[in-house]
Amino acid sequence: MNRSKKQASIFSGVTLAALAAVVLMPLLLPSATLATEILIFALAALGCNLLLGYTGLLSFGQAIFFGGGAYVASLTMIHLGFGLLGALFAAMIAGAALAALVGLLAIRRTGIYFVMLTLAFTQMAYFLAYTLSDWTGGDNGLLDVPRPPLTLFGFEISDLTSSYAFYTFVAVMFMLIFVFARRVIHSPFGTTLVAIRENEGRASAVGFSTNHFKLLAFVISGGITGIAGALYAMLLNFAPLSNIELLMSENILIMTIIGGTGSLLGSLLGAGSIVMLGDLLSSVWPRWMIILGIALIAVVLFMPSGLWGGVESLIKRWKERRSGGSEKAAKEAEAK
Amino acid sequence: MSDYILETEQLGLRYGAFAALGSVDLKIRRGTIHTVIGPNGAGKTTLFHCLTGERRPSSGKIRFDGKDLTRQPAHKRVSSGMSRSFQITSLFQNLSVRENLRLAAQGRDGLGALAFWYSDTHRSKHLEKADEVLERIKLTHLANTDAGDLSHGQQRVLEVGMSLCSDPELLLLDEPTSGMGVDDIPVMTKLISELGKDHTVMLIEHNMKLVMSISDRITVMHQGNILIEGEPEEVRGDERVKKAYLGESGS
Repeated sequence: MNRSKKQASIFSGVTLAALAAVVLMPLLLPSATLATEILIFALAALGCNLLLGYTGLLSFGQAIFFGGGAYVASLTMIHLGFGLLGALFAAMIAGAALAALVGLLAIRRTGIYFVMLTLAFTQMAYFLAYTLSDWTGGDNGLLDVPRPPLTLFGFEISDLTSSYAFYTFVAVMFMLIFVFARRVIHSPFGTTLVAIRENEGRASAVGFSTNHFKLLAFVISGGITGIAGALYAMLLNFAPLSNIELLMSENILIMTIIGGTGSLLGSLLGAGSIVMLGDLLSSVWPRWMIILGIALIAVVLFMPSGLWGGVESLIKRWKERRSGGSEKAAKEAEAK
Repeated sequence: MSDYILETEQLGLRYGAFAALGSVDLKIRRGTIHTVIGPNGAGKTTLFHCLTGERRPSSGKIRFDGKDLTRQPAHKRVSSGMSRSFQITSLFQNLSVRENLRLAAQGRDGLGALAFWYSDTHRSKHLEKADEVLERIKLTHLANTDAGDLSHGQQRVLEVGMSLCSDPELLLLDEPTSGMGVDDIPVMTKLISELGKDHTVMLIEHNMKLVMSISDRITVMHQGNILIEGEPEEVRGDERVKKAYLGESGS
């Protein structure tokens, strides 16, 4: 009984809210491309959130998995003739493998040294991609990345050339990964991650080999981020070098923090606000990043649990007022 | 099966020229409450850390249930049947009391808890264990309160409760009454003496009233070595113990 209740819950509540957002976005936003970009970065933020929000690991390595996923998907499509799903699968494996490599070394240290190690890895990956210009296109980026049609068991379902068709495909991927992430969070593994975030010493004392848990968190995060990178390359038909830059890690982190760490909807909200802000302001004012800086400072100072935390407390207050109001009414009725 | 659940053999830990632990032969009999006391700097906590795996001894052996686990890392000792509490309360502050206990119960699964594909309530044994311990430590009415919102006394009780969740054969308690108010101490005394019925308990403690009333056996440590070991009555009357506590000026 308990089980069916819990099993139902990963498809309800928060998942329904995400589904509603995914359905409404292309209707409300000026273009499907913008909506697609939001979902792709929401995926990257989701991956980052697993590490930062649930495990308490501040990783600057996300760009490695994002850029790595983009390159591997592009190269397998260009040189090996991989289809859409094959390329995404390859990107997921690449992201996970890169994350395993980075994680294996970085989690040997904690705190600031851990953060520095992830930073160093990103710098290394960037210069590696820059140097291997025969494969990555170096500074010019990898051009002419195809967006193959979606085929399942030999049937072509959609050619994905229209921006709405591609949005639909990305939206389905997003929802699948969103539900998967909720499953992970509410599993023995996910609850142990929270225990590690809360008190690593105690988690180890009650019997968890914390490094194994952190490593698996890295692998899952890397896999999700790799898929996001691949989808981004397919969206742009291009894999720029900036995918694997430190700035990309920062952007993903900022989206995660502004949206709210420790909540999956927060990642969608964070990615949505930053991508939209960038889209709105970058055409008007080339120095729009200043506003992003101010927004980040404001959120960290005044909304430590992020935009989603703010939304949540508003909902709570509204609910309290309603139930408070109805209680009052009931008491008055009783008095009469 | 040996009478002793835990045995140390010439256990020592040196920091350079300083021996925090000289050469300790400690034997803990199954089913007893065995207390280690001694003045500050006697090496009690160092001994404790060697037993839990937090420090690696520089010499000697630790045998648990006949198996040598001198070099086993701390987290693996839990699945061997050893569990510990902390002197400074160490809880998952932002999680509910029940979740604290459930996680502690899940800890015995070790790497089995890496499972990310099914729900945490799918295997209800950990929840059942948590509820059982809740009842035992009498915090059922606070099950859904965050651990950080408990009073200090309640946190100390939960601290001991956490170590119960892995069904340990041996409980290692590091100053369970540390920082507790006078009113809370009888609660802890009662809890530990009850735990002694089902578990072997080894504890470090400063509260002499508690020590004398519940211990089956007491080891007194002094300057990194065992001074004497005996039943509470023997220890209470011993001249050497008085001397150790009062220092040279007392002689």
